[in-house]
Amino acid sequence: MPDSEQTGRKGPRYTVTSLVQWFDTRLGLSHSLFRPIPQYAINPFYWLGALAVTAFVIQGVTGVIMMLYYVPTPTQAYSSTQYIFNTVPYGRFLETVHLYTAYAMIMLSFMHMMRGYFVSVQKKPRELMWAVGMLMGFVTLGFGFTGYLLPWTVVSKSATDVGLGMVKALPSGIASFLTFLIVGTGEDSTTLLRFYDLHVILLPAVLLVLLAAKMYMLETHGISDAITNVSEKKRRLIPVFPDATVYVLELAALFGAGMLIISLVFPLALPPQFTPELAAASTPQPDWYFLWIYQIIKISAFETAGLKVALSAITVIFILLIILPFIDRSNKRELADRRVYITLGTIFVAELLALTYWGLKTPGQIISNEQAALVLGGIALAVAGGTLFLHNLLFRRVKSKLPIGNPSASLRSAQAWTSMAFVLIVGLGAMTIGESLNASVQIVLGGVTLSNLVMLLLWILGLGAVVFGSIFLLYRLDLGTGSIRKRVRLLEIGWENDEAL
Amino acid sequence: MKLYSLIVILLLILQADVTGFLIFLSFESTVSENTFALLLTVDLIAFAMMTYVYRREKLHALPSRVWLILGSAVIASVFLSSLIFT
Repeated sequence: MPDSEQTGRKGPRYTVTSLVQWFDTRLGLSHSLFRPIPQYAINPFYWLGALAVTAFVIQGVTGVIMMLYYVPTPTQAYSSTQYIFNTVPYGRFLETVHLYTAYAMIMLSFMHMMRGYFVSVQKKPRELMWAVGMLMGFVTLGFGFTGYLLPWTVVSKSATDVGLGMVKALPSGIASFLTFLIVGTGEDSTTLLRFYDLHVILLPAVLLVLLAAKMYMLETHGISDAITNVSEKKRRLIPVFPDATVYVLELAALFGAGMLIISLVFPLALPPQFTPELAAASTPQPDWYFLWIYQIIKISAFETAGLKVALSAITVIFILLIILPFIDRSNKRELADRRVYITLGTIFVAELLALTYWGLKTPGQIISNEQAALVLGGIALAVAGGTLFLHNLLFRRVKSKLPIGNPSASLRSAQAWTSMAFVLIVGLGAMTIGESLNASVQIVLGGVTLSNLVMLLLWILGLGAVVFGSIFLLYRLDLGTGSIRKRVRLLEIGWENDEAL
Repeated sequence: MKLYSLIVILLLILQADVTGFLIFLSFESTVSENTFALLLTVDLIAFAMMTYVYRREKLHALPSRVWLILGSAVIASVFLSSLIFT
């Protein structure tokens, strides 16, 4: 019991508590209908979606202010954006914050999705929650696509034109729906107005409806159970107000502070206005979150007639992501029991990262089929092999050797660090293998030049560093028992007897 | 523990002052744009620190000194930056 309750005095120590209680007494927030959450959910990884919503709110606020000045016509879109930049007080800062929080929203949504995938939140009875979440992700990408065109710069207009050209190659039903929705008559003025309406009215409305549906389902099912052993103390339920609310506000404040600092340090520069001449001289490239699609359609097999195949395949990937819970129907949720899905998920992330990085580095460059097969296939193979190997090492061995029961704090900490190192090494490994293969292919196709050789050497050195890191990771797999010497001793006497140390 | 309540009071005073200053900040110059962003950052970090102390207090646990020192250092450096950029 707090001191103040024992003594009846209110000390300065309870300043914030008193403040929260003041609001609670008047608003009855702690008696809200929201389902209490377990203590273990007080962890940033459980609130990635909430942070994405925070980014959405910041975008809403900054977007509404910009709407006061922006004019959605081809003749005035750029000049009104320029006016916001140069004349409106804090205009450039506002634009920068709007853009960076949009990037953060996309990144957080992706992290939220992948975390959900790896910890199996999509399992029964949360299948529809997952599907709604995926739709929210697509709407978020829609925000990016529609918002990119609005400043009417040469970069944004050219990239959007490429995107609109791709619409025609989509499966016919989707193509005709999208043409009706975003292209209209095909004139610039119609397209820009439609993009603007979608960006500021339709997409926010759809996102809010989907968010409400997801929140309703979250209230129905609650936060998914932890997949690791959690103590009874951590399972204790806590009210949404004030405990969880205060925690989310804390995260949101830190997120906002981070966004402000990033926006200040890296202010946005407005690219030149779109003109057909400038567009003809520039290479269209989408924003980073669409680079992976851009890189796929640059593979020579997917040029012209093959484009339909590539876009159909990408559509199938999206559909598979939505219906994933109906494919992965097993009730097993622990990482140790989901080797295949963990491997597939890791390959998916590695390929997305590799394609994005590759697309960034090779604007406008057609990728030969051999090079694509080597790089993408090499990454898939390397990541699959690495994941399966480490999964086996981490889980099989741990499961069979460690005593049953809750892991100690040091063991949990070691597992967390090991997992992070594992993710980092898999990512770096995929990148260095892919780039080494890419550099080798460049030498085969373009001949031996000094720059090609230097690139190959650098990537092989990078690969060497990753291999060294992998070996170091193996030494770190002592799972919190301390030094390497102790680990060697453990190997000698066996895991079961580790208490003897 | 009283030290932590003093921290909360100081953070509240800091937030109130910064908010007051932000309200009366001139919107006309580009310099004030930097000041605005930096002081708003101070405000947000101070709020986050306050909620952190509150959460720990509610659990009857001591707030981590590392986080408090780190938070204070960030606030101080951002605050100083706002003076330099003004």
